[in-house]
This record gives sequence, C-alpha cells and structure tokens, in this order.
Amino acid sequence: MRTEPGFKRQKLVGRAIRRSEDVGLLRGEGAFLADIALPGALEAHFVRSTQPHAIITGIDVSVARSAPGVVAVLTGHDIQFSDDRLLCIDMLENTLDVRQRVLPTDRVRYVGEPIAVVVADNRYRAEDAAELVRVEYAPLTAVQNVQSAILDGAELVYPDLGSNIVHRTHHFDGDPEKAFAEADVILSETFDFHRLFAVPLETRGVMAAIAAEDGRLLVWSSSQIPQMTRGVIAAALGIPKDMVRVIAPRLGGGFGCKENIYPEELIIPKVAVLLQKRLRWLEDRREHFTSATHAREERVAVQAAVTNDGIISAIKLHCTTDIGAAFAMVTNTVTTMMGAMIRGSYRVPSLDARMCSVVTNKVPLNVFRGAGHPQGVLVMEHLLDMAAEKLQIDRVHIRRINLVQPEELPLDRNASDSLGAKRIIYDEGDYPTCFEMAVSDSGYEMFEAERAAALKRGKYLGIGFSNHVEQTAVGPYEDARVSLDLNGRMTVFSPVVAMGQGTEITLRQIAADEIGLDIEAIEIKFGNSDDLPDAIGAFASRGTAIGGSAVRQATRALKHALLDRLAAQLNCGREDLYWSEEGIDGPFLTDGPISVKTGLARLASSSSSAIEEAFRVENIAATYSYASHVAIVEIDVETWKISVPRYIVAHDCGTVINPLLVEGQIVGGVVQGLGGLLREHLLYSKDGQLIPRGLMDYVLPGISDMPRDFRLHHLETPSSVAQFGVRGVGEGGVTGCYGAIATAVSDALRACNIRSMGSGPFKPDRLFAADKTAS
Amino acid sequence: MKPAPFHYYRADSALAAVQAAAAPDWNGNARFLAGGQSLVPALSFRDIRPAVLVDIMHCPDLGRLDLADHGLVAGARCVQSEIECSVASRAVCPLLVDALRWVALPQIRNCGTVVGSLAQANPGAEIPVVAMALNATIEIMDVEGRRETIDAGKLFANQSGTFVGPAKLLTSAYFRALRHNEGWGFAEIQLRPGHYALVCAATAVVVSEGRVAETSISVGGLNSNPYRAASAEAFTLGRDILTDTWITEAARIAVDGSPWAARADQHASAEYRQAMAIIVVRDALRSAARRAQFAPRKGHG
Amino acid sequence: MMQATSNPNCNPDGGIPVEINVNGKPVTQNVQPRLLLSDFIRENCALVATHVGCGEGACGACTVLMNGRPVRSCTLLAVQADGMSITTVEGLNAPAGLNRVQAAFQHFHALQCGYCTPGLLATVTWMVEQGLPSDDATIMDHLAGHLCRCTGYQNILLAVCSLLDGGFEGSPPSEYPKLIRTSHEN
Repeated sequence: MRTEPGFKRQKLVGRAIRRSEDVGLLRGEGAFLADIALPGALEAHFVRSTQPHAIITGIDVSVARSAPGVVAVLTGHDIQFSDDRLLCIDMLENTLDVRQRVLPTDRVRYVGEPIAVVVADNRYRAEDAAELVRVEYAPLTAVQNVQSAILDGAELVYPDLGSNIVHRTHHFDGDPEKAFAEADVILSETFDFHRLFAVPLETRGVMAAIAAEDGRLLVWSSSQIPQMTRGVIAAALGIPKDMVRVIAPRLGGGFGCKENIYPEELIIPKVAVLLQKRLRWLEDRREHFTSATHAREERVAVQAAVTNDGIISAIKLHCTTDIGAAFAMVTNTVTTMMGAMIRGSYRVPSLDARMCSVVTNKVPLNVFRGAGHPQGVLVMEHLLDMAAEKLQIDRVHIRRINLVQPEELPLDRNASDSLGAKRIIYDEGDYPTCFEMAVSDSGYEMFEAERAAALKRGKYLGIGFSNHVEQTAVGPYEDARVSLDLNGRMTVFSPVVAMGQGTEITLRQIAADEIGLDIEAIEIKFGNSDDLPDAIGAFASRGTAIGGSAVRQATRALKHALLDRLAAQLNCGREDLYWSEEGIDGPFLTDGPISVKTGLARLASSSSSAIEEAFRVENIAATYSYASHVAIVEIDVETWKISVPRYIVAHDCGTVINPLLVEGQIVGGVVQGLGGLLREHLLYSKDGQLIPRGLMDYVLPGISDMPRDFRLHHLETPSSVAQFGVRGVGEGGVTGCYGAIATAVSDALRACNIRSMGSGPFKPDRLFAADKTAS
Repeated sequence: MKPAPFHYYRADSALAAVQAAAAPDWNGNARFLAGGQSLVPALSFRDIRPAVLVDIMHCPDLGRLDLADHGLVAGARCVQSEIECSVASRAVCPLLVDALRWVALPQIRNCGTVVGSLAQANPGAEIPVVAMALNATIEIMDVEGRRETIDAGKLFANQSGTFVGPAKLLTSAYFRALRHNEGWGFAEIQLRPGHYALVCAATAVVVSEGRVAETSISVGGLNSNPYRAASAEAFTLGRDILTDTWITEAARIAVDGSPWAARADQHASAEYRQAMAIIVVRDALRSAARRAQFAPRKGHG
Repeated sequence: MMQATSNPNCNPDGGIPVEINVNGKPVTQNVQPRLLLSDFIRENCALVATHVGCGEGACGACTVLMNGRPVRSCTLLAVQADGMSITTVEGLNAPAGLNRVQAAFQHFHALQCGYCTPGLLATVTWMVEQGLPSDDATIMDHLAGHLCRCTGYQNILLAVCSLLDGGFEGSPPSEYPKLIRTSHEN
C-alpha cells in the first residue's frame, strides 16, 4: 500500500507575490460596506446618551416622529429582543454579568449609549429628527476611573451586583513569596495606561434587508466575525439561524474594533424586519468616538524581586482594567493577557499576577491589536531598566541574562489563556539570537557618542529595547471549504474577512501550491455566513496560521476526492492513483503523469459537478511569535517633540507565506503603537464627557511620524505545534513598539533628570511639565 | 455629521451679498460662504446653524489676487494656494507666503481663502497673525454698500472673534510689500503637519546702519486672537543687528506682554503654549534680523 | 449669476441646479444646499471609490481633484462645485488594470485595507502631473493630510518617491524591492 507523497511542488509560498486584491482596491472597486448599493434603503441614525450615568425618566419621540422624511422613531419600549444582552465570550465562572444591553429604557451608563433609532428617507433628515427626540435624565454620579470605582461606598454602575469589580483572574507560577523574601532588590512601580482606540479609517456600518427570493433576513455588517454575529442576531430576534445571512464585506481596517457585536448590529436588522424595509446605518466619525469600543486603559501596580546579579526572580502585579460600562466580546481578555504574558521572552520563574476588570461610566473597552500584550511588554521592559539602573548593569546585558534560552523551550508558563481553557506553553524559538540581531544593528555600541553628538544639536537621544513573546492563532477551531470546477477554477471559501492583512493573496498562494494550479485559477470568497455558517473569524493574528491551515487541509481533502472520482472514471482502483511531483500519477496513466487540469478534463466527459470539500481545523494549539525591537528616539530640548530616527525589529513568525505582507504588518503595527504612545488619548472631562470628537482632536500618526530608518530582520523557525509552522504576525508590531518606545523615551529623559513617564502619552506639553517639576 | 438645513443664496455682487445676509428673515444668523474649509466642518458638526449661507464666490466685483509693487491685495475670492504658488507673490510679500505654507494642508489651501481665514479668526490660524504683523488693512462693505477700511489691529482687537458684525462683508485684505532693509520671519509649532498652530509668530525687522530701526512682532495661538507685542517691539529698537543676544529677551517680553491669558486645550497646556510662544517669537525674530542684514539697501521704504 | 436671480432665496428643501463635470461627463442635478460634495459624488453620482473617513478634512480619504487640484470633498458643499470639474479615482482609472500611479502602489505594497488609497491617489496623481521633486520633505508636505492606519507610511513614501524620480516605469520588476533593509537567517 503506497502512501501519498503529497504535492511538493511549492513555488508560491514564501514569495513576495504582489497582492491580487490590490487591483480592485486601487481602482476604487473595493466594495466596502458603504459602497454597496441597496436601492431604496432607508437611513438610520441613533439618539445616544449625552449623560455618563443617569436614570432615564422619559423619552419623548412624538415631535421627531412627525418630522419631514421620518418613517419611524423607535426606543427600547418599541423594540423587544428575545435576548437583549450582547455577546461576551470571556466570562468565567465567577464573572459578574455586565454584558451590554441593546437599547436600554431605564438607565444609561456611558455617553454614546444608544437610546433611540430614527429612520428616515435620508441621513440628513434622520439627523434632523434625532435632534427632536427629548430624553429626560435624572443624573447619577459618574464613576470616572478605577481608583474611585473600587473605593468603599463608590457609586455602583450596576447596583444589583454590589461591586464595580466584575471579573478577576489570577496567574500563579513558581514561588513568588520565597523569591521576594530572598531578593536583593525589590522594585515597585505603577503604570497608568491611557485610553485610546483602534480607529480603522472605515467606520462601522450595518445594512439589513429581507431577501425577496426566500424571505430570509440579510444583514451586511463591517465585522471581523460575521458568522458569530449571525448567531447572535438570530437569537436576539428569535428566529432560526438559517433564516439569517450575514455578509461582512471587505473592511477598511479592523484592528479588533470590529471584533465585537454591537447594539446597532441587532437594532438595524430588527427594525428592518419590523418595518419590512431595507435599512442602512453608517457610523460617522463623530459617533465612532463613543460608539466603537475603546482600548488599553488599565492601571498596573507591579513589584519585581531582583537578585544582585540582575536576575528578575519574581513579579507580583495587580492589574485593574477600566473596562467602561459593559463587556464587549472579549473585554476581559485585555486584563487577563496582560498578566498572563507579562514575562514575555524573559524567564522570571515566579509570578503572582492578579487582574481584574472594573466597570466605569465610559465606553466599553475591548481588545485592540495586541490585546493586553503591549501593556505587559511595556511594564516588563521598564522593570528591566529600573533593575539595570539600580544595580548598575548594562541594559542589554540584563536582558541577555534574563531571556529564556532555546534549550528551555517548549516552556510551560503555568498560566492559562483568557478563556481559562488552555495553558500557555511557548513553542520553539531562539529569543537570544533574535535579540542579538536587533541589538547588533542598532548602533548600541557607539550609542553614547551618538547621544553626545545629538545633544549638541539640541536633541535628547534615547535608546529602548523590548523583547516579547505573543500568543497568536487562538480560538476553538476554524472552517474552510473549497470547490474545484471541472474547468480547473477553484473557489476557496475563507473564514477570514479581508481587512487589509492580505488574506486573499495569502490563501491563493497556499491553495495554488497545494493543488498545483496557477494563482489566477484560485478565487477567494469570504465574509458570507452562508458559505461557512460556523466559522470563527479574523482576530488574534489567526487568519494565516489557522484559516490558512484550514484552507490547506480542505484542499488536501479535495485532492483525495479528485482521485476518487478519477479512479471511478478510469475504472481503476483508488490506490492506483496518487499525487507526484508532476501531478497525478499511477500505473494506469500510460502516457505518464497528468496535470490537475487534464484530470479534470477527463472527468468532464461523464460529469459536470464540481468537487467540493470542507475541513475543520480543531484542537488548535496557540503559537507564540516573538520579536525584539530597538528604538532610538529623539526629543527636542526646546519643544519636547519626539521623533524616531531609527527603529530595528528582529522577529520570528515561523513559516512566512508572503514576506511582503509580513513586513507590512510589522511596520504598520509599529507606527500604530507609536501613535498610541506619543499622541492618541481618549481623554474624558471631569463631567464624564469624552473630549475628542473627531480626527482633528484625536491626533493619529501621520507620515512625518514614521521612523526614518526602519530595519527589519527575519528569523524563520517553523512552529511545530502549528500545522504548517506558521505563527501569527498581525499584532507584534504594536506589542514590541510599546516596550521599545517607552523605554527609549525614558532613557532620553534621564538626561534631564525626568523620572520615567511610564506609559505616556508622551505629549510635548506633558514632557515639558515633567521637566519643570524635575528642575 | 450632516449639516442642519439652511437657505442658500448665491450672490452676484458684493452688495447683493451683504444685503442678502442682512435680510430680516435671518435674524442676523447669516454666514458668508467662501472656501468653506472651516465653515463646512462646523456645519457638519452642527456647531453652527446659520439660517442662510451667502455664497460670495460668484461675485465678479470681489477680486482674486492683485499684485503691485507696494503690496498685495487678496480679494475675498482669492484662494490661499493662488498666492502660495505664485513666484511674484513671494517677491512682494514673502512673510505671507511663508506663513501660508503652514496653513492647514495643501488640499485645504486649494479651497480656503485668505480673507475667509481673517473672517473666521480661528485661534490657531496663521493668516491673522501675518495680518497683524504687517498692519494689513481690510476693506469691509456694509449693507449700504459703503466701503470702510480698517486695520488688522482693529479687526482682532477683541479677545475672540472679529470686530466685524455679521452684516458686514470682508471684501479684501491689503498686505504691504516687503520694504528695503527689511527682513521677515515666521515660525510655528504644531502638533503635526496639517494641524492648527499651537503657537506661531510673524515678525518683520527694518535695519538702518546696522541697527534695528523698526520691528513688528505678532503672536498667534497663545490666545484666541493674535496680538502685537508693542513693548517687545520697542525693546528691539536700536539693537545691533549682528548680535542676537537681545532676541531671546525680546521674545520673553513679547510673550509676557500678552494682553490675555494663555489658552489651554486637549493638545497643549497654557504653560507649554507660553514657553513655546517665546521660542517661535525668538525664531521668527532671528530669521527677520538675519534677512534684514542681507536685504536690499537702497530705495524708498 | 443666473441662479442668483432665479434663486434669490433658495430654501433648504428646494433644489439648486448645479452642473458639475464629473470624470469628464457633465452632471446636471438639483441639489439641496446642505448636500456635501462627498455625498453628491457617492450617493447622487454613485461613484463610491471616494471614501469618507472623518467628515472634517483631517484624514484625506475623500480627496478628489477639483479643476485638477486635490481638495477634500467632505469639507465642500456640492453647490460650491457648481461649474467645476471633479475627478475621482473612477476618472483616473485606465480601461482595465492599473495606471502607473496605481501600479506603483501595488508594487511597493503601499496599501493594506485600501480605504484611504483613493484619496491618496488623487493627491499623488496631481504631484506626478506637477513634476514635484522626489525629496522626502516635499512628499511629506503633500501627504501630511493623508492618514493611513495600516501601512505605517513607509511603503507609501517609497511608492511616491519612485513615481516622482521616474524610477517606476509602470512595469513592475519581478523581484520584490528592498523596501527596508532586511536580512534573512535560517
């Protein structure tokens, strides 16, 4: 009995093939949600809470209902849901249930919470009518931050629950008590991570219609998780799942912001059903500030036990995450992952990490590219620098001696992931080599001379380092389906929504290699819940590692099926056909091996049906990508403006499918991280109002902010726990950046005796104020 | 983010525009529409809800750009990039052209007007600062069609907004030409290119026999409106143009002499603005002094 | 002028006749005074390549060419474009495939999600037409008003630089360019 050798003629995977999807995008044919024509659709606009915390004492929609062009004005009194709680998938046994309600009628808990929906013949008139809705509030004290939320007698965001602390996790490893008792030095510091958010350039949107042909509810949503959204819509509306179809078109960026099920995603379909009309809601940028999830805000109080030779033997931390007014889909993951992954690439044998989610009267918090990893890396790297300074050890050396060595891998971190399900076990890698690659290209040897020269031209120069390990490619399972027609055209139904990551070219490369067809013969379809009703979606750097794996396995199954059919056609035994380097081979093929297309052509004489196979990847083991970043920052001595003249990344994401995309992910991630540390800040006023309301207020990084000299080094250690050696790479740029930039800024500020400014934001006026305090 | 409804009146003459805006129907709630680059976002946010927009961009009697030896007249229809891109404009009024490069973004300067920026008087806007520095004169038309000329100092005399009421139209602004023996300087600190100035300064220095004979210093961004730093200007007179030890002190006096308290917002504290104002005045003054050294010597002033 | 007399006092719901040349074709419509140019292009003309990212002129996604120059379509009213010519990406497209500017963006991987890209193409097309120099300062000056949330700008800068210095001919070399200094180990 022969074993199939498999099709080894790899030619596309690993190559920097230009993205096929670019042609449509560059021609303006991207077909984002707002670009899809829905003739005759009515437009929705939401009335949102203007109060951070209040009892609703009355809602008067009568005037609004009679405004020109208005079709309906509906509140929670008019719209009932079978289940009006939004999805949260990371609640544990003792978690208090603060899932968000879709359309509250009694109480509002953040500015921006939807109260009513106005439906009109166009958006302009919907906005006019929304101004006529009168909401009366009896204001309550707003819980503004975690410090006040956890005080005795604090106002409760959910009075019935008795506490503002709604979720706790604990990671414990080794013997922290002993390590602290034996420590030569104990460091302690508190970090306040400021609130910011993902800001995809495309805001969110939802459209709904009743399909004329079968009466099914058709929903378009700019979502990273259309299949899960379908289930929640069906449950909320009390209709069978197969009567709902959700389509996620191409997204103009996601970054975790669209990894959530939002109130609008239930309200718009519900209203479309009620009115039996096509309905569209496009979030505008001002709305986005209070209707899309926020991110990152948490307070981390940390202690480290250090020996005289610079080994960090234990970390104790309390992380209090300000999750805003309710759970979003994976809110608790932020706090859990911060503590679970704080040790990153470093050994630190003992850990006592206690994390909690605390409710306040702000917009709900959710993951944003990196989830809790960036915060963890920043804290860890600061601890290393504090230890180095205290013990007068070289900053690179202290990192070297604390890094996990290759022979220690795989390493069980004795902690579990955010769903409390799986242990965190690092797969293989070589963290020290990675770090040396980055350091040796950073100019660290000559850095003091460079620093002195910079000061002469009025710049404080600083260098910062970070090493991180990031959990990627998580989730219960993933589905893919492939279909091959007899003309040799293959369709891949992908579980991964396209949002810029290049998933189409990636999957085409994988599938084309596997089946032995040209890349042009492969078509990728994504985002339609009918195609893969139970798929999971695009988040947590899982698209290529898991989605790609599912596609590859489905393609393999397809190859089997093709031989089955061909054997029947040739009247030979199935075992007489197999795949060789040249294609399909076997003793009955007297003229030698045949190509896939030839094989299909032979089938075409007796059949016309396409060959179709599906595959579910299960028992997914998370993979652990790692990287080292070195940042050189420059701070102007007068204006305190920061620029980044040099940035070095060395990374390992396992098998690389397309280096073009990998580099794009890393560079883009770094600049996104930079923005978060240097500029972006979702600042609330004392009366609980969000201050920025648009992109003139909320300053995103622009082209002048990018590192001027960006250097990237690749290691490629295939992961043995991932089926094809692929690790995730979507988030590492942000994660590493948090550690490298923050420590670089602190290093630069040491020159003027400014104590570390923790996690920023490193805005010029804050640096200026710190300098005034220091001097 | 869609504007509330408003009426629209497309004027075919300056007088028609003023009269349309003054019509009793609007209860004084009329706005002139020129480039719309500040106005339209304000409409979209519904920060303002004018009853009517009077479009002045179709009035043939409102000029565009008029260049002469003595100076430059920007008519109400003159778009910022017209001046910025004209070599001749830079020869006549380099301070204005240098400042224009800091105004918003190239894409916005393709629509925004010079006079509109004066009328809007945004706190972080550059053109009002230049207007103050150069004693620009602004022609205003009232509802009777009377034309009045006021100087920039009067236009921005109040702490915020402009002196001109809604029923008057700014029809043009005159910026004098660079004089012989005169240097200019413009400096600005902004959060990121494309943003309003956190602070900015425009200066002009006339030199005579190696000494400062005349100075103007105008500071913007620190307060809602720009101001002229008269005491700092006086301080500079007679200083040796070849040394710059007096420049930092002059800058400090200029900022200390602010008639209003420094403003703070989410982008910068008042203290930071104040410190940065000293830096931009210093830099602008240094540029002006340096250029004055090399300015053409002969001719009338 | 004609309209001023025929519409001395146009009320909010009344239509204002405008004639705007869109991508070479005259479009005559009655529009409400408050209609944004971006909505006119996207909704009234059904040209959806032009995207809206911020609604206040900050992000540049909605940039189009008006009389050949890049402007923001979200900070203009449709009535302001009366008598003007507007070019969107649909108007810059070759009959099929990519034009030179677009090909450079693909070649240098200067787009990821592609939402901001049409606005960038408007500005960059103008820069190429003007023959602007290819130095970083010039490019950054003109692209300061284009926010991209995905790429980190590095590859945008390279693409535009290659277009301006004439290095990009439109037929992409097969090898991936050294975008950033890289090394491969293992």
